[in-house]
Amino acid sequence: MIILYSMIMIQLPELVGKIQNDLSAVGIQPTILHAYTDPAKRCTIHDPDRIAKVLTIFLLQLESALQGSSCALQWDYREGTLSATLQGRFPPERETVLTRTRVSLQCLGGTLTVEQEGCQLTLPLPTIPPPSSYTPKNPLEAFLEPASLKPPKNLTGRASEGTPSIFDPTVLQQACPDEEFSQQLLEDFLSHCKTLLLELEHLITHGEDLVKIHRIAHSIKGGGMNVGAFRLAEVARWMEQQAKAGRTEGLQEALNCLKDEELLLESAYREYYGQEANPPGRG
Amino acid sequence: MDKKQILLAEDEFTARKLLEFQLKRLNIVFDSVETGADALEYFRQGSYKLVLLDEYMPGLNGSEVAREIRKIDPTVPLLAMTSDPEAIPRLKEAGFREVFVKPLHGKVHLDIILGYLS
Repeated sequence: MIILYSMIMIQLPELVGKIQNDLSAVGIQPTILHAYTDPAKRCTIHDPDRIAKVLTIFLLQLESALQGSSCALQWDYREGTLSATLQGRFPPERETVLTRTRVSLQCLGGTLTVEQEGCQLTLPLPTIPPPSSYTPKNPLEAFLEPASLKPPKNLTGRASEGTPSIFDPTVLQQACPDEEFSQQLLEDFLSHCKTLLLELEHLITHGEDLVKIHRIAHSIKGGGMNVGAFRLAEVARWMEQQAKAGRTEGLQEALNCLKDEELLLESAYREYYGQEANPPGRG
Repeated sequence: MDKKQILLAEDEFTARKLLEFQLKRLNIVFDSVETGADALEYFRQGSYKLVLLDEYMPGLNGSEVAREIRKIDPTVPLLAMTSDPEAIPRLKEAGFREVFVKPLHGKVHLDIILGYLS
């Protein structure tokens, strides 16, 4: 069996390298495709919970695709290491430790391609609901409808059935028909959003100045609405309301969620405008 | 001094950039600032046919700026922007002739602005 990881959205170059090495060590020669490896476009996440969440979904997809195999993921907080174990059909009765490494992630989402005996199966990732034994810690659960917890098959598109859209490009298209301007505005928003998230992190960690938190959440909400990032805006709106009401409960979870949503937005944006296209103003 | 058509005050940069883009496409001459204090300073030093103020800004908010502008020029049309629809009655009472609810999707706000300028 050949496993192809089509890294369209998930960027795990270090992890994928380890997987390649580990599988090679047990006699499997995987072909691993990196479709998006520009280091300038990568960002590093050091939050183990988020890494674990993303990889758990990814491995559950892999598990399902391989039918009968099982995956396990462990994070060692003390060592800062991630251990993923895949057990199953290749090779039979043999446990393969995929990796044990520090990882950096680009974002959620992606495509998993499995090729077996010349028959290629491509799965949008992630689309399979997690098993009952898996309890996601997605903080969106606290304030979004359960339906929206399932990552969408397509990251871009209009909101539907009451579920906020990660990125609706038609919003900016209607506001300004100049695609270069829209692209630059989105780039600027993403950059600004990262700065605001860092400020939020500092505020929440150091005393929770609710006035400032309210203002930043308001800014993210407004910007998100303007660029069509409705899920990001929805989480920010929740945080804004909490801060306005003087409540500190859930702010950290909301912040984690905002970070996830920002990465999802960036992925959806890059998907929409083309991964290899250089952002305007960057050559 | 040339009379500019619009003074725009909006702290959130995507909203401000989008409005600037739209106003430029309509060949509307404007000044754009990020705070209420700057808006007041620009208004004191300039001359405008219309003032478009975001309500929720750091420092002076839109209503506070409007109150000061009214002291200088009681007739200039004041338009407000807010993301809170419940603020509309309060903003109307504060003297804003129009209140736009953000996000400003579509072109209704532009038609209204053009109506005032014409």
